Amino acid sequence: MEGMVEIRWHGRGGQGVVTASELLAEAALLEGKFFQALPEFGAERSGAPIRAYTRLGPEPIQIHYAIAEPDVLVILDPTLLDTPGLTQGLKPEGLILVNTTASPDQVRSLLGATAGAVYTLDASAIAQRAIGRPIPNVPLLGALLTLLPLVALPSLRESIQRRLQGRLSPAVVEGNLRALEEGAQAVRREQSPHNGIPSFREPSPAAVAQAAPVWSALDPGGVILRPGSSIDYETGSWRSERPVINWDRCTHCMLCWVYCPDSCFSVQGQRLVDLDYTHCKGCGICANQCPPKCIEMVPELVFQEG
Amino acid sequence: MPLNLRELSAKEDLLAPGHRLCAGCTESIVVRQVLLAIQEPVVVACATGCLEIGTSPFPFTSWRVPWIHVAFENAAAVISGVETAQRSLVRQGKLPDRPVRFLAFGGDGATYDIGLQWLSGALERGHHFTYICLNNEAYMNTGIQRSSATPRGGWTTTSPVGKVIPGKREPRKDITAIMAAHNIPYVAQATPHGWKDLMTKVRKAVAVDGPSFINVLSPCTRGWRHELDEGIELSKLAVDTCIWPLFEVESGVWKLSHRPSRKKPILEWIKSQGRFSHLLRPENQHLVEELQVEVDHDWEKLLRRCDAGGPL
Repeated sequence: MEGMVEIRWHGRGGQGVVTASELLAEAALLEGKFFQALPEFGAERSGAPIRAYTRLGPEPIQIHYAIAEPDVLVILDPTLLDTPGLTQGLKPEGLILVNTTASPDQVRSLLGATAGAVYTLDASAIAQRAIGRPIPNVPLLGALLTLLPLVALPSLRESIQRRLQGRLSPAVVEGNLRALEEGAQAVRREQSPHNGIPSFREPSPAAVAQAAPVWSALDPGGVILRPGSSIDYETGSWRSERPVINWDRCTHCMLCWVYCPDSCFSVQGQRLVDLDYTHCKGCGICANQCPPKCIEMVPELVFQEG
Repeated sequence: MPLNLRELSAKEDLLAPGHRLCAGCTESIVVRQVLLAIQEPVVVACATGCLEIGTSPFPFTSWRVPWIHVAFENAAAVISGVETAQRSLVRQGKLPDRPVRFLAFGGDGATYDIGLQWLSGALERGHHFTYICLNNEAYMNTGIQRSSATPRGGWTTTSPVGKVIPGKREPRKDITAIMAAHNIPYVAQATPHGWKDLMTKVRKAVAVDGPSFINVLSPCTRGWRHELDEGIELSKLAVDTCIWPLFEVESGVWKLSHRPSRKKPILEWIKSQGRFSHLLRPENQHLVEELQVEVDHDWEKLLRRCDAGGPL
């Protein structure tokens, strides 16, 4: 449809991904525009990567499916930047807005040769200052409207007020409106924009393996014949903090092993030998329960930035 | 094999990682401990719930044991059928005669509410199986709705906190006593913090000749509103405050498994979770006092049952 804009939101459960997609749609409603807001998540839980979609258009929108070729990508969590296929389908003239402390050029080097122009905003910090919690959705909405005037800022203010009033304290509602303004002003652009490089990273073999099989490849009755096959599904990307073991102080008491929800501690000959970061979700129960306190939770961004 | 972590660590983990339960979920911790404790081959039936959804999103499974899910209410009925089929096939000489342990897992929604009559029926028929309730005190899988396991004063989306209603108004159901009232050979309460207590109880439960039931408190980060790393800590606090006493009922004889050296006030429990935060408001102080009276009453009742060796 002429004039339709498709936005794909990437974040984690709990960051307001779905709310962001809906707030923008509700602002469009207030202006008499046509819109859709669709969340997409499976059995994943808190902390798992999720997506949401917003479509805005001047005419009724007749399609009802996931957005495969977005005009805009909004990344609410910087730890998702190395997710395979993240920028897949982004239109060459598209736009990538990322919540990160990094500069747009640093993000560009992480993403590699990808379509679209990169913009960044330290939305978590803005939200932390404004509402006392690092929920990045509202500052990112402010930044997005600066880059693309999809709706007028006052309409978005009103949709935020309608959504939050009565549910949250007046101070938090006010804080969100301040965060919106601040996000609109603080967005950062790339020094040397890469306009229109129509290529993106191919999805990794792991990502391909994680896609559901076609019907003809299924066993009769849908029975799963490979025990423990979920080991192929990597939940390490859910993590925002990583447990790091100080091996010098480890007494091999095995409490971390018996209390790990994700079976991530490997043992050989009654001694802990390794930690499985491809599945660790970073809950921190091991660090909390370790008697000699030899496990430290380190923010994942420390490792991403090298 | 002795119940010693270093010895147990040599055993294969029968629940694979890569499941989609929340970071910090205690349900998979309980399941791992249960499967580590059992030394014989195991068959599992799962009720609908977080555990079932999280460990079996098609085309994956996290289970390294034969596993079946049918519906929300009927895990006990399904495992009854599996157990009966195995007995029949052994009698017909089609399967080797060796001990197999039959387990059913259900959340509190499946156990306290939706599957109660099916569970009651399976216990009464005397099938040789162990039912384990992963009790996180609400319907967490569908987004935190109250169940009959939700404690009085607890916030859920269907027992909301407002100007008039301070969370759930009704006390939780004492399902463990209801299970004991079926006069089955073994009933117990446990927590994932007390891994040795839990594993000892699991070994007793699967070894009895007949049905057994273990109710395991399973803290939930989303529904209880606590930090991701606190699940194990909270399951200990529940025991220390006598919110969740550890006990077992063996052939009708009630036995306390652990007596806290110092019984902590319920206020510590209330302060530890966001679902109770409204109870800290001055106007709700009387509720905290009432809840303390209830906990004290239940604890005294349990002590009398255990001293007397049977229900009063």
